[in-house]
Amino acid sequence: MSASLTESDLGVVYSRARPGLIRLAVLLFDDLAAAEDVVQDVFARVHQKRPPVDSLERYLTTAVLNTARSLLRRRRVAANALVRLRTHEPVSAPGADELTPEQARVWAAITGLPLRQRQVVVCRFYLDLTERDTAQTLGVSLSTVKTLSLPRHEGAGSFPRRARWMTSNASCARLWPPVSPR
Amino acid sequence: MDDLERVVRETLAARVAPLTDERIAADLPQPGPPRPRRRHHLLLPLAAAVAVAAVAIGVGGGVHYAQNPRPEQTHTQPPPPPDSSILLGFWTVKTIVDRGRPVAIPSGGVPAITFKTTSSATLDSGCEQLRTSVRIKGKRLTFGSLIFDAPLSGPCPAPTQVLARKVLAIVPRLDHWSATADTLQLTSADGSSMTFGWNELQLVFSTKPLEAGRRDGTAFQLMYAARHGHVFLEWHWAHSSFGIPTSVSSLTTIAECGRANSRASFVFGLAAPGTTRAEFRPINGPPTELTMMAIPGSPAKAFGRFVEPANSTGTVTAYRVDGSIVGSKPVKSCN
Repeated sequence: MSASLTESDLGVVYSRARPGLIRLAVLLFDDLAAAEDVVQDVFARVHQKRPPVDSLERYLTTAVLNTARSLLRRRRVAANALVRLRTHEPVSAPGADELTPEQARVWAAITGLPLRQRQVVVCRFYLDLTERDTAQTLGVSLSTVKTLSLPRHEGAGSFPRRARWMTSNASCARLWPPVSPR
Repeated sequence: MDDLERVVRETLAARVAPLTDERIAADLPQPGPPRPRRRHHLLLPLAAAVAVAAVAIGVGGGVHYAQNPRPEQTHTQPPPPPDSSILLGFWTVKTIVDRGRPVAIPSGGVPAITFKTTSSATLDSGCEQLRTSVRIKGKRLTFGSLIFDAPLSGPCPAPTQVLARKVLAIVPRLDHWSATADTLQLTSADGSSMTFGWNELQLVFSTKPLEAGRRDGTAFQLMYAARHGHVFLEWHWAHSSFGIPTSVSSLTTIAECGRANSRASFVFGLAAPGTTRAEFRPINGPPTELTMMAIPGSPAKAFGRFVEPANSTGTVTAYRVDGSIVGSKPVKSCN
């Protein structure tokens, strides 16, 4: 039986894991205040539920991804009203202006991806999770992850498939203009 | 990894690279006047949920946590209440200050306090034993009425009587506590204080109580407090009386007899010099030889043994090697 988190463990985990989880949340909606709130919300739940220590890292990651997802859903619902009222001006997390022009284009494309796809991209290429781990973390099937991931680079033969994937996505099409085999 | 993956990886890493641990920590509210919290209107429902959860789970002190829900910000939150379980055990006085004036502690009877639980204590003034209730709230600690329990065995010399009167006058005024593993300090606003040291207890005997149901406990220990010249019985219950699994350590100053469980009592004592054997003679049964136990690092010896039934009443008698009696003491209904 795995050990449960004690009060003092939680304090240590909180101080160590919080910055990394905030960075993860920022990649999901580019908003530092919201990221802090999401992470805080997650820790409030961890305090209540006391998940087993051995699966804590995955629990926290999944919790941040899911909380971010529900937050973004809620935001989308409220967005129309806010657009009409002009009361909400999203504030980008600090550091966006430190990207190179190419990175800025890529970032703009990533922020334009549908949420689930953005989560997959972040899991795969920021958290360095395998496709299987990504599926487990997000609670989706492996095939979903494969569909939403960048197609694998498997030599020259894979290029058309990758190009199709890119052009099938409006953001990617803007980001990576028509590609040609090298 | 191909170019596309590399670019995506680099972009994601570059996007959060400026958000260093220090920068995130610096974004936390600093000491001083509170600054407005950056929060989107849309996050208010979430914030409310977090606040409700924080209050519900009792983290960081209710409303305060709800307003600023960050457990690690000790500079903006009151520190967590001290864990009063550190008080449990036997403490002997090291220093006494009465309204700013140090009080001399004569050799001999040393005042002591035993916290059986965090809500009850036994006070040994040096001449007599008293019991009292304890109320702890955060760093505040107040004692209830001091109830006379029993005189300590042996004579109480005049200097110790003076000290005992001082102790009984100071204790009701004490209203704050602080403790480390070795030191307990009780203080009052008028400059009075009592500093106690954790009494080095030596384990004399350890066993599991005789089986008699679920209140058997997990450990039953006879301890020797060298500085105080007493033997104490300590037991660890595996279950509370109302069935909630717990581990409660209690320490008793009951001399010579302690009720182990519903089946048996443990008769024990500190052997007087010259004692080679001791027996317990119940009023309605044959005598039981008590086990003599050496106390590590001490010339003193203890004796003890489980006796049945639990409420045994009888007499403990100590004998010298030639069979003559060193002393005898009645033991009444061990409870």
